[in-house]
Amino acid sequence: MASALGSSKYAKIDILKTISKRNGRDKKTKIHDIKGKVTNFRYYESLYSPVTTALLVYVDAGDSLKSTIPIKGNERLNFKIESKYGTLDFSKQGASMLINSVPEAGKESNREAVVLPLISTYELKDKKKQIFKKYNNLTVDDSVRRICKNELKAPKDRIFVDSCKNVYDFRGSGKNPIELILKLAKKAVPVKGDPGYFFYETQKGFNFKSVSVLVSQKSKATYTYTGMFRAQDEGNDYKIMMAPKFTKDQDIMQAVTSGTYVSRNIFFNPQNAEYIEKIYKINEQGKIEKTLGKDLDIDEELEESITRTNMHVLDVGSLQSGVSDAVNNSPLEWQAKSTMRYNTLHTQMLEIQVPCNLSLVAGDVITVEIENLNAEKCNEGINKHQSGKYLILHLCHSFSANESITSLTLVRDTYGLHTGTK
Amino acid sequence: MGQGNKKRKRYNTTITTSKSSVSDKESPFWIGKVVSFEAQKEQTSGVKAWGIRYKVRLMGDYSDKDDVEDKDIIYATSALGVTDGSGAKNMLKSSKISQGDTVMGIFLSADEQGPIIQNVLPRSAVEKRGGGKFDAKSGFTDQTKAGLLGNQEFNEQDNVATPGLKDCKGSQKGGGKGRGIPLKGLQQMGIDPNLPSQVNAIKKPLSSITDALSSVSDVSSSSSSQKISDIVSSMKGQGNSAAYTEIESVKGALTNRDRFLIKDKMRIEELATTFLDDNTGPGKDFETTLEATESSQYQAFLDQVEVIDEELNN
Repeated sequence: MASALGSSKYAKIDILKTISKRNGRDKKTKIHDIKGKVTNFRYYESLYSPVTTALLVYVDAGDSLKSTIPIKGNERLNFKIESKYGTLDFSKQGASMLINSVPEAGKESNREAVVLPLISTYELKDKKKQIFKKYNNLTVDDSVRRICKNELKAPKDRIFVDSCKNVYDFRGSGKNPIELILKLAKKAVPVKGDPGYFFYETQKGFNFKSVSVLVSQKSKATYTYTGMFRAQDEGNDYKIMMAPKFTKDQDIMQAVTSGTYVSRNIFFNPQNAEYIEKIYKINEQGKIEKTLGKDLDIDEELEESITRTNMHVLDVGSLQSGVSDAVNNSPLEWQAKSTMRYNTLHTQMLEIQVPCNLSLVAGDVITVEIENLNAEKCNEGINKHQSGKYLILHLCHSFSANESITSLTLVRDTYGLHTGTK
Repeated sequence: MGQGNKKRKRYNTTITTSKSSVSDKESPFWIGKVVSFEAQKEQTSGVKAWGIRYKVRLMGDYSDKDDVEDKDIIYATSALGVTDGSGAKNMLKSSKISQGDTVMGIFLSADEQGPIIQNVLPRSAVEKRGGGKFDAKSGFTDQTKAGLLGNQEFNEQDNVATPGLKDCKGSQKGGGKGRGIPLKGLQQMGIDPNLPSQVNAIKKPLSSITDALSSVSDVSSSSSSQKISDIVSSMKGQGNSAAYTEIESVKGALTNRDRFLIKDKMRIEELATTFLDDNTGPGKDFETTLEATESSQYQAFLDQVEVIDEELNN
């Protein structure tokens, strides 16, 4: 492959239609190869999304596949797409997608265009499962591993969980596995670092990763923007195609309102009627330990007044079989700090497009170098304020007949080309 | 255009008619069943307990078909009414929640934490009991047995049947009629029930020796205006001779007729007193006493005394 931007190879795109008779017995699966018909394919990952999704468009010029298979939704779709930098493989066990719906994009007398929105098979497994049992005396990461393995039935080699230091008792309450894990994310405290996790699926599997660990990663690739991008040029693979778009660069009012810089936190213990009121300031009690850029530099003025109050009634032994006076996963340890950690991470948001790189996944860290407006051809040409390490928040690999592109939404907490002292 | 016009905040003006209920997914309210006390005996027995808490199987959060045992159910803390007392100033009432009760409440914390029991739903007489996790069950345990109300475990507008009072003969009392006023008895006490109510109708009881002495002197000073019949009545049980002497000291010398009438009045009053003593007093219920005072025999005594009094006072 000459260029990452060029068309990728559809090694496999199969629709697997399973027909079962007599209450699920005598299952027969028929494979329909549609790779020759696919005109567009988009694959999505996000730190906000617990499952991967995709969108496939095919054009049918002969018999209507939609009618002959027939495609009614819930068919499995296995695909494998190869590009210069990696392979997107959803054809192995434990990794495939389901057709969610079958809307038509357009129809003429001799052909029809069909759009197939795809969802991860785990999303259906999740929706079909309600958990009622109690998770007791387990660290949060242990509970997440058990839910992924036992309830979502994910293979062990597709579960990636960062260790936590806090034990949390909780009950299923009839919730779906993914809903439960998402509720655990903000209450999880890593062994080292600030509280706050993300739960998301990538092409490699499920991830329960702490924000601190994510921002501490080494940069996986460096992409530069020089304002000069010509598709036919050699060595374009790590260049940003269009001008980076900063969709957010600070939002002081939103940060102040949400208690990013300072918050008053009230805790009430119903057992002994103890009332605890704590003020967390981002440069003191709520200090962020690890950042993508320089150390956090917040105006003192923003820390002067309380702008947010969080109230929490402590859970004292409510899920113990006997009687206990132990506080369950005390929110003093995580409530205020996890809010600060999540909010600071979204200080800057940047959208870029680069030639397809299938080795990138959501949650990776990349370096972005943006040239100065009046750049000279030397090191000083890089904008040291905007350039630096960014975390991939959303990702889309897009394939068409002519080109393959990776679109990224990047976030970071602090400015600067180099990471801070901590 | 001013800065403020660029981003004008939009307010939601949609009017919604739906009301939040306990069945809404995001509702902070819940309803559930108190599980067996055996599964929470450390708490319900009070041995290691803190607070007033019960394990409640919350409807929706748990299932009839789940494999969660009663001992693994969440504890909900009981809230009390404003007149029940928190225990401060030694003011308190105990909780009356039993196993199998249907209770309602609210979550105090996010993510369905901190359940508080606010109310208990009364049981109906037709509640269906069963072995299911959410089925109604008896509130009695091995430690608590049925009392006077038996196995009636419900609380509704047509309330439980209570045991009735019976006399010693075993018959039920009361026929729906009111009692008659014991006119004669009241008159004997010096109260005329036909007179309208008036202030100071009944004299104050003696409260001290001084009062008693002054009362005696008052009697002697005013006894000249007393009727002979009253003096005779006040000398009851002191013998005929004492009565004659007392009356002569006030009214002067008595005739033989007077002496006969006084002697006869004292005899009849003695008979009436003996009759009452036999038929009233300790061991006799109110009904028996009333019957005695209203009996024809007793009324005959009173009638005779009345006739003698008229003769004496004339």
